[in-house]
Amino acid sequence: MPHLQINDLSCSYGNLKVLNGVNLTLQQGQVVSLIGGSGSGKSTLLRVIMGLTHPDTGSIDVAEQSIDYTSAQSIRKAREQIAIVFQQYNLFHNMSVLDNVMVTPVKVQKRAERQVREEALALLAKVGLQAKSDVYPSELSGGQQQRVAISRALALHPKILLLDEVTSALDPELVGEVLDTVRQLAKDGMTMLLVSHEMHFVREVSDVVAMMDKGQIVEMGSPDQIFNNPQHPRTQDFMRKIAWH
Amino acid sequence: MLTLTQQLTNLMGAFTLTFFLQAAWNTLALAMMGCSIGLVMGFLIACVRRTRTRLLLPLRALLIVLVELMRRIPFLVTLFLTMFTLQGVGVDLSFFTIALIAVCLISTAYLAEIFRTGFESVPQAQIEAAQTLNFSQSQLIFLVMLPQAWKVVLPPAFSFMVSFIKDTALASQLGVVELTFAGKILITRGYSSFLIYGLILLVYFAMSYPLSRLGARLERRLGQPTAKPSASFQPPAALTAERLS
Repeated sequence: MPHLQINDLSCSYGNLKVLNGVNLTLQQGQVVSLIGGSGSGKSTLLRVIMGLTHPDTGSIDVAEQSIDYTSAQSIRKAREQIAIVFQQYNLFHNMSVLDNVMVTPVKVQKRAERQVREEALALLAKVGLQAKSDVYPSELSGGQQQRVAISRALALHPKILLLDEVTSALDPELVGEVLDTVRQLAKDGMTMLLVSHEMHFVREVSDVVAMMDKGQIVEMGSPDQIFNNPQHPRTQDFMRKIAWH
Repeated sequence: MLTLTQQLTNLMGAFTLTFFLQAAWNTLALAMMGCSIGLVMGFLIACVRRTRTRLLLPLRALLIVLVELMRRIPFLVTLFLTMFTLQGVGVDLSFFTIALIAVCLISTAYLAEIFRTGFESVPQAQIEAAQTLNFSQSQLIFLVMLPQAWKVVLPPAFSFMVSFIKDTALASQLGVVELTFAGKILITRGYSSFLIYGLILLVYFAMSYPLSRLGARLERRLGQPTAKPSASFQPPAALTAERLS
């Protein structure tokens, strides 16, 4: 049973067609990466999956249940299984690190606080931030905030994790620590849909790579196929342009 | 004319003192109740204005019109409008109650705008993060938006409320015997204007000063959600006690 299925999805902002018939399937435990230039629709696709933007046509099935975008209840149900980590971390400024991780399981999922606290501390320890649990996000570096954001997402026990350019806003020396965390998640078998510009990382960690351009997936295949033997002219163009060090 | 001391002695006579204190109490009651109700209703109006359902559109439109009207009409006109509307409808209320209703309408309108500005100051990214975590509307407002809105809401809110205490003097035009009106009555009885208005100044000051102090204190506590002294701060070695002594 595919964890996530996107069927012929289209979405426009006014006159601009941002997504133009996207088809994608995500199986359990798979890591699928979306690559492509700015404006290709990668982030919009993630936003639509999370219900932040509504599509015009097409559908998204989460565990074979189609999301009904006119029903708040349906969107809520989909969000119970998917978690997203944003490019700008989006930690709650008014809460400490531990509260950020704990607030959703305790207040939204209504789980017992003591157990959630233990789990939250364990998650923070896993990303090396247990000592910072009483600190506020504004006192952390970008890399630290992003790791907290990942912990916050994992505290929900999501079936699918969406990662929207999670290292793009970070200083170069902080990128590694976040990638290590994502690498570990992939090893642990988390189903992930990843949007990233870190090509080496995408190549290393993905099962499937999809190249997007102008709101469509123009080419999709294994990392080896996409990076070493791109078929579509846009993919070839993209591979030529990105700097390989 | 009696000397100042003689006047003061007369003023402290039971009847005059009671009269004066009763008037001061009217002012205080109008201001306190007006501000409290204004805060609660203003907050609720700001919450309603955030909704998007078509169902509530007439309510939202009505609230917007009311708020904009109340903020653009002179307070005195609002007071008279309230009185003539209520009397025209045939409701028999005391002048104080009519003034109280008008005062609540005015403070609600101003505070609703202040809360709305506060809510709009919260970055959209914070709201989206809460939405993707399946926060309900009230969880979003109380756990994320309000704590972050305080620093934008508190200064103008307290500034308005302190200033509003003075505006309750207009209720005298409806016949409510509040502080300023009492002053005028006492002067017609022969007390010196300097003495009476001097006393009134002191009483107004005594009412508004604690309010501004409260505002300052709340701003420090609630208005800085992200500020927390870092426990790990180490002063530079050059400033340690041994070197200074």
